Amino acid sequence: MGGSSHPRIAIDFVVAEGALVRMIGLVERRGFIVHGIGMTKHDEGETGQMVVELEARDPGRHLDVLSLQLGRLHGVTNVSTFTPAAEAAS
Amino acid sequence: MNRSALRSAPSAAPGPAETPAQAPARDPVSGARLIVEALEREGVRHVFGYPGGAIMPLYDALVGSSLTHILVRHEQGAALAADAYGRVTGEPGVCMATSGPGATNLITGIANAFMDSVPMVAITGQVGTHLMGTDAFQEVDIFGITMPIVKHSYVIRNTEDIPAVFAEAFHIARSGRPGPVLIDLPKDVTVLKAAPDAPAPFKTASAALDEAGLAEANRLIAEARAPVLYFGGGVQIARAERALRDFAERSGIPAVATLKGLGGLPTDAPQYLGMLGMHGTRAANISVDECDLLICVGARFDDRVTGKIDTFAQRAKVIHLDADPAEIGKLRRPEVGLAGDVAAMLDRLTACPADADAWKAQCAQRKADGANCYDAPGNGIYAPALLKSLSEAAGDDAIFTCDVGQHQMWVAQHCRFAKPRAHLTSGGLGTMGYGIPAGIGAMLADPDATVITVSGDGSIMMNIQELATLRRYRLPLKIVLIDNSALGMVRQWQELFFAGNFSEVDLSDNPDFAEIARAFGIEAFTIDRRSEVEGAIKRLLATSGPVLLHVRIDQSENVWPLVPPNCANTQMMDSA
Repeated sequence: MGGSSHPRIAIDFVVAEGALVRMIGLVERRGFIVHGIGMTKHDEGETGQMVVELEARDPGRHLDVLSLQLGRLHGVTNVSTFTPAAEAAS
Repeated sequence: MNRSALRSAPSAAPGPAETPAQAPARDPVSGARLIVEALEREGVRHVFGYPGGAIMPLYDALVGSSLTHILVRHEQGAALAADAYGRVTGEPGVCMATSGPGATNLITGIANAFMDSVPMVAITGQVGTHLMGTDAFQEVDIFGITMPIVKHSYVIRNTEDIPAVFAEAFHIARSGRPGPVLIDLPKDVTVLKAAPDAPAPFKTASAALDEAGLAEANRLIAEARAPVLYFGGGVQIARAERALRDFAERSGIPAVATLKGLGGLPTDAPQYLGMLGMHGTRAANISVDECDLLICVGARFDDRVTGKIDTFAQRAKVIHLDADPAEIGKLRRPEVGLAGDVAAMLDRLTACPADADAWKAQCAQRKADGANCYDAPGNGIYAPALLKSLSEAAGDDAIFTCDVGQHQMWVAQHCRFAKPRAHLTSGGLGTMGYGIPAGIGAMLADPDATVITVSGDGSIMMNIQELATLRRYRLPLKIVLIDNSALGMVRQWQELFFAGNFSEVDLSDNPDFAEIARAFGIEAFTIDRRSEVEGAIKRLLATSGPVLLHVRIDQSENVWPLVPPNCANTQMMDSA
């Protein structure tokens, strides 16, 4: 999903039943359109990282707030956000 | 269950505090027995529920346990009673139901707990694991359905995971910002035997305070000339009322409360300006509008509080304290946002505004100018006056539970609350039918308290079957039913904002509520004249068992003041 015009959010989590649905559901419910999803597993399948390419539905939706909302989900261990502007600058 | 999930909880839930001591191997017992043991280990005394096919093994194991099961007459009543139990005790209320419709009937109560951050553990039966996903009889994906309205949830697929999952579930429900946790139990998991070790207890790590943020907050407070303290339900959830009161006293800052914050400061505290928002006081709303510093404690800038949010406290800088970092900046970007232990943070706000005496006097004058009047014309019963008298007669130790509608707002406006957790109301979800189950939960959580449920003629019908629960357990709940033969709040909005086009709000064909109560074996009486109010309150409070006071009022009586939808809080409508 590199080179996209949309922000991305990378979520590190403990693999468990329902974890993916819980995270994706939260992203959509909190006012973001999901444009793409990728996932990798680590630690012999016990942990994973999901990268979501997304877009806010309106200017009142903030990526940093979404990041905190994802971070409070049980089993989520880290959330990182990447905006196209910041990635281009780096 | 993935065992690593238990070891990799986030910072607020660092996992088991220690390795359990080696215990001698035990004989295998059924999953249902392990669940009962887990509940007993968590200190659970009451469980609210309703049996059915898939959860029968657990009901079998309840017999002979230390747990007291409260048999409700509809699963929604179980979840709402557990919600109130959790609010009063601060410990997770426990409800349980069978699979399928039993589980779906819990949903409103689970959502209610989620919206108001109430600790709860909801246990649902499920069809056997070999049948899951086959559309079996009474199969529903309650794990999936409830995902947006729980703090966390589990399907237990192995009997040996039961102790660890339950320990973690209770820890999650009560830690940080509390909330409901759902555990779905396939039938075979509760029947099969296992002999797992007891889990180690969880210990919550306390996070360090943001020293730089606290210093900046103190600087803003010292410089403020027109500050307002705006507090919400997060204060009582955090048991932070002592810290709030200390801060309010040493700073002298005028204060306003949300619906769920009522009781954080006593209603009669001099600096307390009342509830803010849609049905708030003029003094509260105008003071917030004109303040230059808004100190938000355990509140979340809810739309019923802010009105049109772009217009809310436009001139103010904001300090926001909350247990949940995700609430900070969600709707209003603060100058200083502090997440963590609310009481600890309040204790560190030691600055006082240096030049705010004129502002304090101005706020006090606004409060005096806007004092409520109770001398409504006529001989009919004026509900605000009745509720004020009832509150004064019941005393500060009484617990009020409410349903949703006009009566809910009248309770908030006209009853006095000297302590938190004396006012149980469905603030976030607005659940009609909350009142009586909440009264049941409150009575079991605090058996010495006088518990009064104020309901409306629309709301009471939503869970009227729980009168049977009151009678069964002889719970001396005092119900005040405010009956205007209409869905009053909807009627009020249709009158004011839909040109008086009344649509489906007429309830003039209501049953005789006093007769209904008597049919359930509950004492009941009806009044409709103002001269009867004083005697009725005395009788209500003197009755030793459950009792219903049916109060007929005029349906044209509205709740004032009112901020119209999508307006600024300064655009308050009043009766005059």
